[in-house]
Amino acid sequence: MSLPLKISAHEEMIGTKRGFSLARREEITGWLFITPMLIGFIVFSFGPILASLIISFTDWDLLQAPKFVGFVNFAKLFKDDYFIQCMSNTLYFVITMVPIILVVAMTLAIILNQNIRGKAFFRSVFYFPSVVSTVAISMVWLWVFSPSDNGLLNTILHKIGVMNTPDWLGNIATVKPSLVLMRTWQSAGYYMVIFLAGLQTISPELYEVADIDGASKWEKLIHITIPLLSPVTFFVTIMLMLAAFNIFEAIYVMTEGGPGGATNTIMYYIYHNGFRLYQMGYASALAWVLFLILVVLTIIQFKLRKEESQ
Amino acid sequence: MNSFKRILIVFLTILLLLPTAVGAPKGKTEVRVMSWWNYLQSKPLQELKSKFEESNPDIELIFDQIPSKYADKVLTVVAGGGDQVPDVMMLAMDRIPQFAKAGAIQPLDSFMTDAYKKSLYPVVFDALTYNGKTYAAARDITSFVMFCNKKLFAEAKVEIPKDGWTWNDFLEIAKKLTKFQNNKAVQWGYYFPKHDDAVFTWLIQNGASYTTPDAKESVLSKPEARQALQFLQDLILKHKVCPTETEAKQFGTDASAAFLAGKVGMQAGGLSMSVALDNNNMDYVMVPLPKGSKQASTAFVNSWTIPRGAKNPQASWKVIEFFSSKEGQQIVLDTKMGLPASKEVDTGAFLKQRPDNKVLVDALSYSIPFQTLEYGAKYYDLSKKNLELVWLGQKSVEEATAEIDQKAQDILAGK
Amino acid sequence: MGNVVKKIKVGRLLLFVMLVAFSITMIYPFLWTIFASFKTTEQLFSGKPLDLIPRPMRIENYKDAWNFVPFGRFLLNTLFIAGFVTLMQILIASMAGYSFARLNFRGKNIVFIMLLGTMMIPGHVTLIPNYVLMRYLKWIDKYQALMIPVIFNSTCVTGMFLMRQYFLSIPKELEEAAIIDGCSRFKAFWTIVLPNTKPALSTFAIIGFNAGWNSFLWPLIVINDVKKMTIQVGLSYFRGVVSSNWGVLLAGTTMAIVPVMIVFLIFQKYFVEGMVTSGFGGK
Repeated sequence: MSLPLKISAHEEMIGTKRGFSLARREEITGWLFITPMLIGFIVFSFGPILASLIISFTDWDLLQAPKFVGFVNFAKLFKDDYFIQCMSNTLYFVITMVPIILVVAMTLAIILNQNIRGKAFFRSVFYFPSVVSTVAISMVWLWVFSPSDNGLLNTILHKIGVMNTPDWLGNIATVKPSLVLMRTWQSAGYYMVIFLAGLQTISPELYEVADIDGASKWEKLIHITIPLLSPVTFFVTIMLMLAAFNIFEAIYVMTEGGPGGATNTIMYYIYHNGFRLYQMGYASALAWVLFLILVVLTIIQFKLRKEESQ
Repeated sequence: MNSFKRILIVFLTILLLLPTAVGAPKGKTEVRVMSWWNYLQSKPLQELKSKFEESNPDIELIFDQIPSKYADKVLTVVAGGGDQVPDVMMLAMDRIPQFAKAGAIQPLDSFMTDAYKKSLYPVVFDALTYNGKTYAAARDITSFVMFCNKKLFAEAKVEIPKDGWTWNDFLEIAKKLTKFQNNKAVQWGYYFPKHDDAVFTWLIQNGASYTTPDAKESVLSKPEARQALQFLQDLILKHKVCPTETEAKQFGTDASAAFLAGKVGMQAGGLSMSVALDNNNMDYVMVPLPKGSKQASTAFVNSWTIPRGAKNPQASWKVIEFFSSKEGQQIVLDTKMGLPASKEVDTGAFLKQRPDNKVLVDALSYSIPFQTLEYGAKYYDLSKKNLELVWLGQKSVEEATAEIDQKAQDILAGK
Repeated sequence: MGNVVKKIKVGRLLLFVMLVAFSITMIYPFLWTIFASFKTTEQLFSGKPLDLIPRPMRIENYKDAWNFVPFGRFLLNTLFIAGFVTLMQILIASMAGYSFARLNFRGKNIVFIMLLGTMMIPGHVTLIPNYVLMRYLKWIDKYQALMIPVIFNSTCVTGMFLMRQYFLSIPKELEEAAIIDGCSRFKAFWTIVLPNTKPALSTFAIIGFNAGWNSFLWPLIVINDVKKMTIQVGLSYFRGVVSSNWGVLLAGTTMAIVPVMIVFLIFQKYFVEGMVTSGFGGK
């Protein structure tokens, strides 16, 4: 008990000399340490979010002065067929990519958490595509999906006898599934590693106890692994949802929103409106509506989780 | 670790400053010219540069390229301000109203002499004007003709089409040039990039157009227009003589990539398309476009402009003046960049170069200039998106044209 | 009993075969790209993509790629920009993470949650205002636009969180002792705490650098000057320049992928095992 006294007496001495108490000094230091990050985020993150709202109330093409138009952009938005189109396209990607990649990643993680020969090799190999940029991967996958016999996918399918191969990226019905396939291939490994990290936190004793009770592999999976992974699953679901909303590079390189607007996602539409048609106000309105949707979705997710854990 | 980090930061800071140190002025005035061509592959640009610098030794021309989505990207550059704003900017005529209205390009009336204005073909002069002011100088004028791949024609034992051939003749020839393998087309008779001017070429051959002459109303629902668009849709979907965009783009992002790869027998284009064909030693011949209800071609004017924010408008004008002068236009013609916009240029040598060059010059006489509209950017965006669904077979021509005309009402009125 | 063992063995074998098959699908596209980058355009369009060997071998593809567009410049630009940004992120985020882990101050939780909340914000909301800001600061087409705003992105927050977790898990006695002896908090942080967080720092560095290397949308809109482009934007630009010369384009793509491949092979364990063991998974 003498130590704290010693500290406080010592500090008190210095403190009173400078007129600051220990707690006060810690407070100042605490703030100082976060100041660089905080200032940066205020300038480049929080500020812009607010600015985006303000811009969404204007009609601005960057070259002339902005004109205040009130809620016109938002009214336009709800009547815009392309907005509805891009929301439904984005929704498609969310509904498909989140569960598919989640299941694939979790499965791979569970498999590679066991004692399999070469598991470090497999882990690395599956993780690798997520490290390469989407732009480079898109160039490669243009060849995978190329129509006619020059495409890798078509050639493989032809070899196993499937002759009637569609124009993957040029056909409205197949373009979205193709992109989902590509993104799953690219990012499943990344989320697999996150699940692996989560699996490390499950204490092996639980499995041993279950073994003693005679639980089968399947039962262990359902009753131990998956429930205990739920914080990670939750985290990954949110990340995947954000990633699905953010799809841009693959579309920019491979399909440019087509064919016929089938891959016109919200991110691409915002880019198109902002940096092709120069409608900064409208693009900002789109961004804000999207932001609100995401906030609502995330709050719903958090609420569901709260209920679940209760 | 402390000192290591310090060294690293110092090192990086030095490298940060390096790029700004390089690029110090050399004593010559630099004029940066932006275009959509690659200087290294463009003999026309190289010629223009060397001839200009001969008579202007104190100016150095540097050519930059924006290879795709030119108009959108270059507008970003101008809007962004800063060092990258070029001194001279190539611009297609359909963008002049949009750029002029937004103040992205500078009016050139104070630089231009009356004599210069009078020396241009009227259609050229109209294209360069907006709201009574002249905003651009002519780069050249292009008429559209049909390019035929002689090798593919010979292989299919089809005769090169002659003047006066009709749409039906065209369709028959296209069918003969299309080859299938395993139920998939590996060679096509005709390809057209789905740009507004390419579609316009077919519209006018049938006596149709995008809008009324005063640009107040969209008239794609008229029967002549619908007929033309239906003909084009059939080429892709019914007769399958024209590849889809994905099929064509696998050979490259350029409009003429599939033709260059020898996979397409015919393609409509202007004189500048022949530059790439010559570079690749293709054996081709040019013939007039087929006749719809009448013989017509599109005249398209490309121009040079001075963007807002150009550092030295005087120097910029010097360059533009040369490019569009009689001497510059002679180079333009001789290097096949395009047909001269100035009436004073001598076409004799050009006509002697190849017999089919005459086709290009003749086409000018029955060319209708491409429609540039004040709200062209939005209008053509609307029509392109709707027509895209037609080319994919997702929408009928009737539906799409009705929708375009209806939605265009607001757009053309400026709302 | 032997039957059960057999079943397990067969099951394991099947699993192994499946994993190998999967691995092949992961690696093959990259392998194909590297081989194809030496092919001529004719061979690429000959309809036999699975024929990997280039005949003839066209090394000029790489020479052409290098000449058409300043690839060396792209790689250098990206190296320095990503390096600088990652360095700054490490400094700033670890300081903040330390503060949240060790120090107490009013408003600490609010600020922490606000910063974490920025991870939920999709990039598009801040895209246009940040672009306008760059324009106003006259940073368009300058390196500053690529280096400063980028520091404060979701990678920074993730890293901050990572560091905080790590700080929470190491004992505070060492630095507390130094502080008692009169050392300033900052000096203690710099000389005692940070050096002990090498695993977390390495993971942060690798992941941050990778994210910077792959960034595309922001450099796309703020940089128009070819000489200042980063590798991903340069690759996309390159596609427009090269158009139909796919062999050359694939050579360029290979040049964009191979550095990453090499770094990955060398630092594999930081990528994978680092993420796994640094407790990054839980939340």
